[in-house]
Amino acid sequence: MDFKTLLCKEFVIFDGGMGTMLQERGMPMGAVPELLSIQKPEWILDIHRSYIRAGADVIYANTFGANAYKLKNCGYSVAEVIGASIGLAKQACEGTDTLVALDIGPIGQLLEPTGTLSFEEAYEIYKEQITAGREADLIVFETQTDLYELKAAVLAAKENSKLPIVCTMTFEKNLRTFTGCGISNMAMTLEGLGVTALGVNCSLGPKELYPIVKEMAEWTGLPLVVKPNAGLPDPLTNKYDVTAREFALQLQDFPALGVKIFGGCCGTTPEYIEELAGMLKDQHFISHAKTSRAAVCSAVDTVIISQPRIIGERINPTGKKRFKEALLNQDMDYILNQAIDQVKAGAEILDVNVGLPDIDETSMMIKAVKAIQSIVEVPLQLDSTIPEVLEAGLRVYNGKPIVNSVNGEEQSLASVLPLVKKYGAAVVGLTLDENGIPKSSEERFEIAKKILKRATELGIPKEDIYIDCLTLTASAEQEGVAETLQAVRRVKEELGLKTVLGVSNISFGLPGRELINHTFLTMAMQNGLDLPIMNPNVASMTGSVRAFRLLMGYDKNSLEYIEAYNTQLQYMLPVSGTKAVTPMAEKSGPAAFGQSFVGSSQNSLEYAIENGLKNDGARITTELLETKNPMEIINDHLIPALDKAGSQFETGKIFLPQLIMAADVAQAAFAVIKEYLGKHSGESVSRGKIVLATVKGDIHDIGKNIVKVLLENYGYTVIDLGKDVDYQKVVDAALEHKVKLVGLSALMTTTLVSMEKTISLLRENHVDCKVMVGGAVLTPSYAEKIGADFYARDAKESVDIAKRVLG
Amino acid sequence: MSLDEEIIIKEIDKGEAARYLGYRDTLPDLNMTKLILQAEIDLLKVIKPRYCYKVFDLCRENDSLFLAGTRLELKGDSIRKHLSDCEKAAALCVTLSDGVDKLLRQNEVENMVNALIIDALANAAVEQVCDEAEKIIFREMEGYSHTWRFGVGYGDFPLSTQKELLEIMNAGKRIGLCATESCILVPRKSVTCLIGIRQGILEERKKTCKNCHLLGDCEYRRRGTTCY
Repeated sequence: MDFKTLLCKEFVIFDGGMGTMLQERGMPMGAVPELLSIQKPEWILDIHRSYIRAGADVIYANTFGANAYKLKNCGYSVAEVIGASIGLAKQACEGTDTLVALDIGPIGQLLEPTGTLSFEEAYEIYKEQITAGREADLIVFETQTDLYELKAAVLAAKENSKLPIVCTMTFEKNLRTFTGCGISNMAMTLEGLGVTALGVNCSLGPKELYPIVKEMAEWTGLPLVVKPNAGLPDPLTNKYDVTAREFALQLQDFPALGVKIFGGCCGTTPEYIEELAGMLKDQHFISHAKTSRAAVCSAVDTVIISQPRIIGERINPTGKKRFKEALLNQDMDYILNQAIDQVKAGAEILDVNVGLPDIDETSMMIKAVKAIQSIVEVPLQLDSTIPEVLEAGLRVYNGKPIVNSVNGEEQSLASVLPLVKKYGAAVVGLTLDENGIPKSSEERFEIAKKILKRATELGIPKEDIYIDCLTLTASAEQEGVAETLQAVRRVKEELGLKTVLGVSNISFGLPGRELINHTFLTMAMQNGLDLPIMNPNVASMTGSVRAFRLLMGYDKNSLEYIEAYNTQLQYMLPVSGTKAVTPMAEKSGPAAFGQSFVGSSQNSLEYAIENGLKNDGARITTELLETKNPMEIINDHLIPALDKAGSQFETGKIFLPQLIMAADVAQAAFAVIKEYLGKHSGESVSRGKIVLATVKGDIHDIGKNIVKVLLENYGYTVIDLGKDVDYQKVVDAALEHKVKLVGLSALMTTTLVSMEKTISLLRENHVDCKVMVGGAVLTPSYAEKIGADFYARDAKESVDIAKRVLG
Repeated sequence: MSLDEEIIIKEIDKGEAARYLGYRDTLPDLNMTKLILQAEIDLLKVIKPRYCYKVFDLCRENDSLFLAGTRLELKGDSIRKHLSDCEKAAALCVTLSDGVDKLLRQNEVENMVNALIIDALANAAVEQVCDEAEKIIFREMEGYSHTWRFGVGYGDFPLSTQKELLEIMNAGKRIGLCATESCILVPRKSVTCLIGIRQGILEERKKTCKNCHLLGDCEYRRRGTTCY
């Protein structure tokens, strides 16, 4: 018997709690339960047998926490513990049809970005378990709360085993997991990755799990699994409040939802499984069909493409000098700000393109996807012409993304579509092929059909194929506009596929581009465009989409429209064709608040800095540039004003937030100067480079980031290596950029050691630089002891040090 | 596994947050106050307080102190002294959850001032959640008195106790709280602590800077205050 055959049964019964049974036998709290497979095999065997007698079709081997992290220092290897546990389970099953599951729980450490464990490390940890458990009949990942970790686990299973995979996650009453993962997000992502069955376990009793399973049934056609707790535990006694009988009764309604697989989690015993099996004897499996809909997701957000949705196009270096520069300098903050601005302006999906000839696009794609998904929740569209880059992005993406793109060329179809299938993504199909972009809508329609056919043959669901009929430039090919619109309409109506268009191309070479753009956008939506790829920061563009959704009745009672515009004047279209500012692009930061309190008569850069007036700072700098040269502005205005704020901070007249506010204004002023220089000379205003890092093992980034803001605003170029930085990486960066000053931050006593190691590695490699250190637990004497050149008490002092070292 | 009684924070102690930001005699000005109020709104949207606790008997063997039923030895003079007159101890784990980490990440990129303020507010909020949890614990324990919360890693109570304590409390599964390899709690805005309990009256233990290793170079003391 194998698991797939077992699924042909009316219902499949999994076992109940293992931990519960072990505690009853006297396992101490905090012990490693998996070691009991070696130390007390008779206990484990006995528990397995009692579940088999109770009617379990599948038993979970005692392998839940048998991973490299949890077994560290216990004296046994992962292979030994898993080998012994699977062996016992197999032994217990002898002479029965019962199957053995390799049971795998969470690693026990949080993954990046909140934790320090990387996606790749998680993959390796799971891979070791999967390899060790290859004798099992199926693999179960359970009690998972982080979709990202679960994705690493599923990929490790898919790539290192042929066993069927069952995934269950743990939800709270608010229908989300601890990390905020929703039900649709889980179902879509895992079904896309090709698991065999999915469902819920732990955390709640059957009654509380009902709404969760009900929603899950709408999002997946896979067999559903339910393994509830025996109700809720009493906080004092830890006893569960649902009896075996009640447990079975409460599960009576679940077959109607389409649940195929039943079992128990914490607090359940063989008695519960026996009652459950008894109850199911009188029931019939009712197969469920998921609602078929086009949707993509991150771990938290789900975007259903039932109406036009905005894909933000700004994360793309094409034609953007500043963006290219950011990519070359690995300046993530710039890219992340592009992400935040677009989301605030109304983007519902973000296109991510980091292709540039001079950079390693694959590693940049990984870096960008990880960074962007750590700060925004909208789904991403991975955009590259290189399949390896797409695959790298698909691996580390947390959720179900869109791949941009495949086209009608044989080579593209053959290389991109299998990736889309493997990672369960949606895909944009461009209606072009070996012969370029066809002129007529008829030919483009034919390519769309071909893409649909090829994708469907691979098992990619129809609702995950979005066709781009390609926007041509109206000034060059005026008659092409109608062809594009016609093709959109036909793809939508005749093939029933969703459609995508990059909108902004339409107006290339014409004056008043924005007017053409949003008019074309409206026309395209009227012809069936679902996913405009556009600049959401342009108010009239986002406005067109919002207005369209209102007028077509998608935006019920105009709620979204009113929410977006009721306090703003942004619905007014700009008359001149200049770029209108969206409500969000005008940042509502400190400056916005500051402005309402001061009169405009105080028109100096010093005043702006002192009062945190960001917008004024930028404006005044622009004005000053008409009469003064950039270095004069920096030396005569910016630096003295910052110094003044610094000394006020030191004497306790102002506080850290105000110091940073002042720095923010300086940053705005610097941005203006940099732009000016970029246009006029290309001359650099940098006063020198500094490498900053929060040391290995430490994830307290805020202190280092404060230092960074301040240093940058004194005109230093900061190479920010981030947090949890490897010793060697600091050395490499210091050598590569030939810096004279390295700043290290650590906040915990446990990570001061890393600081010391980083410094000694710098010295060993004879890196010709000074090292300054800082962080809450650091003292001047300790700084000296570990070989630092300077101890910076606070951010202000780090600037003083930089001045001493770099001038 | 979630405990039935939820803790909801409706308002954050902004005075305390201002103190974390360095304000002592001066109040934040109108600008800053507005920023703090806005940050509070943003933060309250993402805070999801979770906690779990367990009351242990304390067991003393020779010179060592253990939580009964576990193998967790409470090392260090400061925690031993703290619990010296107690027969029980409550272990309490609290977290504001992952959403706060994300909000901080966003703001550190976008607006450092807001990040600072949110960080301070979150520190105040996690203490408030601890206060509420403490009330819940001791509501059921009439006739007992208790010490203040002694954080893991405070004084010479080793930070390495963190992992074992989280394991005993099953905190990963119950409230999604873990520690990194360097024993840092994640999600970031979290607390693990022990509270000494004894029947009858407990002589009040004042918090003191005496055992703190930052004594010589303390940001708070420099400004004439303390962190508690």
